[in-house]
Amino acid sequence: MSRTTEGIGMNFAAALDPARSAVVEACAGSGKTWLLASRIVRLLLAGTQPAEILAITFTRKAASEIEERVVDWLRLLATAPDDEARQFLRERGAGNDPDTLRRARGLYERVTGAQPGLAVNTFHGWFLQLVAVAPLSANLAGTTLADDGERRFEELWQSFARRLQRDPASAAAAAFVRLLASIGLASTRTLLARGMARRAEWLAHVGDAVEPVAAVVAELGELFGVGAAGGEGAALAAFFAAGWEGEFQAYLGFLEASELDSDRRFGAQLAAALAAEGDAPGARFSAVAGVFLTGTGTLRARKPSKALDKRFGADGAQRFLDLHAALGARLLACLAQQQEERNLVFNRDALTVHQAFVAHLDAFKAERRQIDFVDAEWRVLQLLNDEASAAFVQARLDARYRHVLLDEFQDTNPLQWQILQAWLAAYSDAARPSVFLVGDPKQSIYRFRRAEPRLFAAAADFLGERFAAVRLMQDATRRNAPAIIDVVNALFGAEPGFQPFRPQQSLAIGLPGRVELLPLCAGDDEEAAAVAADPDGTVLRDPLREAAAEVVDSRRQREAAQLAERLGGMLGRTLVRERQGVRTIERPLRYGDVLLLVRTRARIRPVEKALAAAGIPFVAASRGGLLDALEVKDVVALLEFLVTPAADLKLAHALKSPIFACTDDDLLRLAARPEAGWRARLAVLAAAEGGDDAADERLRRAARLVDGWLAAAARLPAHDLLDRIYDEGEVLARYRIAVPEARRGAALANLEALLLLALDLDGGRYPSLPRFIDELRALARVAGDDAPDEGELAADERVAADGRVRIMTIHGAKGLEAPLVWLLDANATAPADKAWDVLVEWAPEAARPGHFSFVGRKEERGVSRQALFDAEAAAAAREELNLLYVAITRAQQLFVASGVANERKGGALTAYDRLQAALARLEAEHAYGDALPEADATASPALPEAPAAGVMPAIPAVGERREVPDAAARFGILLHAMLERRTEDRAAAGWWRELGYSDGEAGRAGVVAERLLATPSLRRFFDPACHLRAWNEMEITAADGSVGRMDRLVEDAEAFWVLDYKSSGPDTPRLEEYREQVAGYCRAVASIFSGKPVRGALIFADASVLEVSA
Amino acid sequence: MSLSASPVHSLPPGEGFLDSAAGLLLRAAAADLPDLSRHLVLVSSLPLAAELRTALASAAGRPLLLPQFDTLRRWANAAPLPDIPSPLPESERLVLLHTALAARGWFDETALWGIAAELATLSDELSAAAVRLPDDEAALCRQLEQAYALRASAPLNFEARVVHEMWRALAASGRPDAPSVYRLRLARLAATAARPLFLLLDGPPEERLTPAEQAFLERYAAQQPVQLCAPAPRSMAITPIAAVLAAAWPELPAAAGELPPLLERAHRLADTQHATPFAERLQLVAVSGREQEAEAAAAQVFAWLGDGLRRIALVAEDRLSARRLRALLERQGVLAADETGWKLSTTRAAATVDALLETAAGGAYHLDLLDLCKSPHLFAEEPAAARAAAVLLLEQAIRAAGARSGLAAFREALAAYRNLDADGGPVRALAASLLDRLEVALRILGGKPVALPRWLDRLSRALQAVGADASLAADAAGGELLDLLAQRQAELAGSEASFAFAAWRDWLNRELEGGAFRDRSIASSIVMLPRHDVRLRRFEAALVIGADAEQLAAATGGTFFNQAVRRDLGLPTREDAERALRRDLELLLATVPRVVVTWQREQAGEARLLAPEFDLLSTLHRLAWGDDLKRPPLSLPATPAPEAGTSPVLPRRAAPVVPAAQVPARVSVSGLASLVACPYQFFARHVLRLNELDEVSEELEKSDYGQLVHRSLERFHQAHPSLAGLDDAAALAALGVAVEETFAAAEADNWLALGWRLRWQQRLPAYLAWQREREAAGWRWQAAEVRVARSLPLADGAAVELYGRIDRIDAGADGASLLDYKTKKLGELKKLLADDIQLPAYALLHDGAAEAAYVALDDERLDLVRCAGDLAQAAAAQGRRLVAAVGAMRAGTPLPAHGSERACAWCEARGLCRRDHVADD
Ligand code: SF4
Repeated sequence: MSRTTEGIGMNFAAALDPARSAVVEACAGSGKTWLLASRIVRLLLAGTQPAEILAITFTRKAASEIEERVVDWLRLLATAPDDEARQFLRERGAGNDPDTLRRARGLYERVTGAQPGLAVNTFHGWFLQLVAVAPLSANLAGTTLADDGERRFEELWQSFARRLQRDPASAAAAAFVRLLASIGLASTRTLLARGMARRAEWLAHVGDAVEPVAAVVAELGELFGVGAAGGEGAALAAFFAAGWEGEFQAYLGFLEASELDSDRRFGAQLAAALAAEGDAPGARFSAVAGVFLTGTGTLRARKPSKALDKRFGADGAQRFLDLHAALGARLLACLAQQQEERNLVFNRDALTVHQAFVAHLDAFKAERRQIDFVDAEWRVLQLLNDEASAAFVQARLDARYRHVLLDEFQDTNPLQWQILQAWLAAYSDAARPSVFLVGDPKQSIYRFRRAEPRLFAAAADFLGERFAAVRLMQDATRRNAPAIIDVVNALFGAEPGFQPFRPQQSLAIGLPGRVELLPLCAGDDEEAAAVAADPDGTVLRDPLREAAAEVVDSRRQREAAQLAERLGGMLGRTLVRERQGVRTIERPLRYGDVLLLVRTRARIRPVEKALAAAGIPFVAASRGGLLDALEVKDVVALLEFLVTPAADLKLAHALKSPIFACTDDDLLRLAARPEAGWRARLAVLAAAEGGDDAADERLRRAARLVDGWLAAAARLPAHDLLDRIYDEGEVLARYRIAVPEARRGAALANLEALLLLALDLDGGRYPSLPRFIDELRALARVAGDDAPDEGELAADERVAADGRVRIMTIHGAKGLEAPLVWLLDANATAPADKAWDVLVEWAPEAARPGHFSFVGRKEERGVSRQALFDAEAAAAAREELNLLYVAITRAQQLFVASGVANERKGGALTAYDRLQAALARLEAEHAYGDALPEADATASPALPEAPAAGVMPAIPAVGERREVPDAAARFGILLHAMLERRTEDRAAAGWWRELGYSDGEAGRAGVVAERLLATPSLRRFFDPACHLRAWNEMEITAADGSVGRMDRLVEDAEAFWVLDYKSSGPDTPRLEEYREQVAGYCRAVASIFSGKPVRGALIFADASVLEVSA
Repeated sequence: MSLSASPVHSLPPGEGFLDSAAGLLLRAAAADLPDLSRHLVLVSSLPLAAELRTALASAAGRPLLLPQFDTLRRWANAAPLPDIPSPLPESERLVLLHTALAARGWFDETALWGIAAELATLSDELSAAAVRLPDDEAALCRQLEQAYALRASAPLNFEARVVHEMWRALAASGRPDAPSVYRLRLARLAATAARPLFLLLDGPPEERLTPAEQAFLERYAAQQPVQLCAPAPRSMAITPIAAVLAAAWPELPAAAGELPPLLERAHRLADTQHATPFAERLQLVAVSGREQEAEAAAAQVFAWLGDGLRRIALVAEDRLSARRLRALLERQGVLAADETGWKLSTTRAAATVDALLETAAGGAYHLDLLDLCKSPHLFAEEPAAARAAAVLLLEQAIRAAGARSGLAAFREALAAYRNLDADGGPVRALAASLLDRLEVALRILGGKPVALPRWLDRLSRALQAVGADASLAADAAGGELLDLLAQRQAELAGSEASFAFAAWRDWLNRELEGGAFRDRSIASSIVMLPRHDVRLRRFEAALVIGADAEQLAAATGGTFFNQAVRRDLGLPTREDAERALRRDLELLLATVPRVVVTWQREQAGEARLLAPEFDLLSTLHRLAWGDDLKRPPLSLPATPAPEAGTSPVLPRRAAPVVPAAQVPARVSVSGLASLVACPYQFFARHVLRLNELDEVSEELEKSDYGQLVHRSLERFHQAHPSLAGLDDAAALAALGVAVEETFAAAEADNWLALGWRLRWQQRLPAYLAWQREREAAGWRWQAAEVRVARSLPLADGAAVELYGRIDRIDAGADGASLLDYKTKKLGELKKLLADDIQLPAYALLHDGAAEAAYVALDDERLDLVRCAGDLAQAAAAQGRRLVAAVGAMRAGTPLPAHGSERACAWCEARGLCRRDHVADD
């Protein structure tokens, strides 16, 4: 970790100076985290309290990384020898005089002990913090954060339909029905889901308009060129305005004069249309349009030609062509205008339903007192935009921020920026904080989360103006080898969409690097062959002997196979460099050095298969797949059977899983039984006296376990039940045997993850197994981020030393680096625009979005929003480039790209094309850079042996389950308590209820207590007049140090009495035991009070007394 | 605060602490020995009292009549002082605040219970700290202005107003709150002090005693001898351990500037103590995940048990890891007693109550109802087997009917359901009676808004109606739950504010969330407990689980005000909580000779820091003695391999052989398709006869849509076999009516079905146009939904019957046309034709068919997709294949699981064939 502030090509001193605001644009690999953490250390050194620092980054992972880094550094400063600490300070441009050093050494304690402490937050985390301190008047008290996912949408969608159904005459219901009729159910649903995701922008756009939908529709009407009064039909009416037919008549004249059949037909059609005044305008328009336009809506081709001249004469021909063009244009304009009208109608309906849906969502959350992230953002903005509540919020926080640090700023969205501005505006001029902003617009890849890369420049300007922030560029990277940077420069320097681009510089001088482009994998003819089998259909495939042909994409298989082969050749052989402290060593490539990047998760599967086949350990950052894994499905099937014992298929599924390891023959035996239900059949077969063969043993074991678990399922929470199943069912041990090597680790990890999922879900309120199953089903239905993730592989697996090849999406790889990065599927085109989406335009400097509308099918977008679509397309294209930039810059030494031939891409440029062009610019064909050195030894990395299974040492049983007191025991306890209270005169009304007794129980015990108290022979024990002293519940120790408790000890004139109440009668079988106990007490009392005789007595519920002698 | 009147004995914390305390007590009471019955011994906690009692017994070495042991609070609150009023019960106070808030209309109804609870907490805090708010609101507002350093504004005024008005509303009730009553009682008891008092605290008096308690002691000491004994704080550094802790956690972090740096403190320590007092005493163990944390902890417990230790404390900072640990221990027969307790809401009993309320709230939604019925507490008086059978029948009926919600729908479903079980009669009757009883319960819960006690009464009657009252009472957690509710009912007897169902349920949820359930059924020397309860208790070893900075942290205070204001008002602040946290850890480390601390280094990919207390200690220790105290986690030995007899093996591709007797004699057309797609799938579906149970779907699915389309066409054509007599408009109208009638039920059930109907209705003109074309071409609609079957002889003399159902048959000049409706587009259907089995199979089943075709219903213009090639030949080929396959099966040919990926994608037999785990696949 040695670096200096000099020579990096940037003025670090300014970036780290606590007194100054700064904006840093820093390229990939230039050490943004280092910079940010260093600035925090500098701030602390300058005396800033931890609570005065607000640091915000984009993910919780990044936040915890920064925090960890700072604490590690402070610990280092506190403990390192003076030289090292001084060096550390020097590297960060801080003074290293004795005073500073002493202060630096104290920081670790000052920061770890601070209240409130240093917190690095995400935007979301910070917003929630602000929500928590919102003034009471904001009506946010007691709200909880709800997730914003697919599952909630499903619930809302259903209840929204119910709500509309109850009021079918409402505007929303009518609009909804129109949408269903015009675009269908699925698209309507998509619209609402997308609209919900953009709710914050909707709210920001409409502000506090009273009639938001009407206001937005009016805006759109203007944009679309459709007047307020116009709606559908205005364009047609305008077309058919008086005198419209004049030129058409002229055109008709030409057609009728033509000798061509086609012209005559058109003529007849036009004549009919001109005459059909009674027809609906729409039909009439179509008839006219058919003469000029093709079926696809383009103008029919009519060109000047000799024949035409001959037909109409030269002037006539020209006139005819002019008419054709002009009238065609008129028709096309009218069509376009009709499209705009339809779009307005569509938007009116969609916005109406959207608004109703948003209201429905709000009501849903209000009922449950929930807010979601969108609300948090939106509410915070509202709070901060109000001067009084902004001041309140700032005062109410325990922390007083004097320094604001913003990381990864390119991923910020306009709403967040508005919030930040409002936050900064709430400071008085005197208290204005310093602002430090760092990011890289080139790495902005979160448009789908509304990130706006243009904000970076806008924010930089703002901060420069208002905060006198210095602006710094950092274009040098320590991560990537020079060869990689050469390609980066050659590629992006030539991309018009990537300007302005400053060439980058690699500081990793001498690090060998290489960029390789593999030939595209082409498909073959097998696919066609498979379909063409047996044309006459007389010889059919025998399904028992021959499997159906797979329809597979052989290109992708080839790409994956190529990958596995190439990796296999490099692993353990190709040498890479690694920095270890100050030294750099060269060592063979390991699994863990390889990062495979895919565009979308959907592409991960074939790669996994190929790697598994090649025996290369990997970990796929695939998420949300837990419930699809077979081993997890096995256990879930078992649980489903336990909840619904009629689920025969689930039982059979569980039986065939390794948990029971039954065979198909076992299932056949079960299937042959006459009993209804497989559970009954299993019971019958298991009970049958039979041979002792393995099959019987399996079935008996299954029946025994299933019976036990069925009984447990009713009472145990899911986690406890699962734990019992895992234990008694030997689940992990069995899967260890029954899953093939390549999948074993993942299977065991998944089983563990399921158990922990149950623990998590159980941790919530009101656990029951049916609910758990319902929950799992709901989770299994949702896709993507809401679904539970696969288990993480245990760290102590055999491959740990070499790690695993990582497969992830480019988004997932952000912030990571690896010696070898391989981009797969590099020849894919960018995803197409989605139909049924929301179009929002929010200029970076604007306070609110300038445009909000819904968009239908691509071909029906109309022309009036073209500028907006173009801007979107440009942004999307730019993000494509950013993705490629992020992908390449993950590579320290080696970057490989592969892809498949793609006939359908047309003119679109892919990452592959761009890389190819860049290599060409560098005068390379398929590879550029250095050949990485190879090790001689070809031995594959040695795997350490798996640890031998140990044996659990004998463990003593500890603890015991106590019987729950039965009615008799409860009665006894209550009777004692009652006598104690009655003799002490302290009995608040109903005191027994606090002890958990019912009035009925108290009544019954009361009868007995009163009987004892009223019995004349017992009076001497209870009436204070009859004795000198009395104690209830008197504790006594015996000579051996044991402690006992006497129900009552009474001293009268002649003796001490040790009394023991028994709720039973004197005929109890435990009489001897009782006597012995009282006798023991008597002996102890006697040794304490030596002067008087000590007598003991057992008093029974029937008021009989049995005297006990010591 | 001085406690000048009574001497404070500072004893070194450690294993000998209680013995020293017992010795002190014996010396102080020497005059009365051995009868200490007139002495009063008050201790910070009951478990500590038990330990002191034992220590006393052994210190005395002779029989003693023991003094009275109690905690100060319990003793004071139990003492008979009849003329001191009882405090306003918490529940009543909440209702009072709720009512007062509601009357002002400041907040949403749904927020009120939460705000009321916060205000009650604040009021207690004020009361406990003996803070009196200024008499008028404006003064409070000014005070807040100053403390917040904020100019008055609407939000601030409002906060002041809410607090002030509610505080006054409470005062106006005329009943004191619990802290005030406690104060009154202490004052009275001090005045009437009659017994010598020995007080054992588990921390410095100024931290562990409230001002009122300190005042009590002073006054008490004026009349009776008082002995006060407490552990010496680490700052006194009277033991080596205390010295290290004092260096690691200086008492005054605020004055850290005055302090020598950590490095120096460490070196100084090392100079005075050559050996670390923490060797073998403390280990910090980083783990990589929850399961590893639980396993490391379990392995540690087993190791300790192996060393003969028995008294072990499990400090559960992470409740979930602790729960995993507990399960792992129980697997080996090691039980831990639980002193922490769980929220009542997390018990099965509470889940039963909630299921009942959810069923009522959601209009008897089927999932809720079944969840409720499957509770072990319901209908407890019925024999378990009969009850289970009845619930199962009910579930099957509901699934079969697709009944989503409403008791009426379930009743209908039950009546309509035919099960094959012979002795279904009594089960059916029981199931029906369960529904009746549920209806009674739901009716009871469906009443108008009433006061809380009436709601509680309704709840208990509803629970009675479903036969859950007795079994809940018999259940440990259920009993506590019912007790809690009975207690609330008694406290609130006079309460009149009435609440709607939702507000009441919200209240109940809060009660169950606040109520604790301690499972007392386990007695063990291994105890799971919160960290502050370990204080000074003599455990032989302790595990702290979940010691990351986030979880092992000081409690945060109430939601009102910030720390500055709280400090200004004299309320406890986070600094106090932080001090308490360090005190807890100090006493834990000082008293327990072996402490192991675990934390998850990373969670969901995010780094987790070790709690600063341990991080500081570790750093200091490393600087002083070159050991950061971090140790690798222990692991559990791998579980033994399963017994050979039932042990699984690596799966191979499944290929069962079916005994001839079990080969189906009848095969449906879809069965044939399944056989062709994957023989194992056929095995699962048609040999084993295993199918998914029906699911109740939320909304109309695509397959249901197809069904409705079929039915609407059938309905239309039954009435109009030919369009000849109808003009276009009339035909469209008639078909439209048929469609609407067919879809009506589905739409009533879920309005979204409307979307599907509209989709179909848009196709009607196209359908009619196509129908006219067909009629023009000479086809006449003949029948719909025609069942057909044909027996095919097998080579071994037996036969197999193929059967199916044809959507529609038209008659034409050259024979019949067999049609199958598909709500798909033409293009899609054409792609499927290559592997088609259905059309040739129909042709095989219906003699003399001239054509067999799919009708693509989802295009602008309808058209047919005809079976390719020669129909008769194709039919015959299918027949031959079926005969051959069934013959082979009977002759012992296995049925391999070799479906294509497409066949597997939605195959329900995937768990049976195990293909995902087959290595050579
Ligand atoms: S999952 Fe595939 S292989 Fe297994 S039974 Fe189903 S179709 Fe056949």
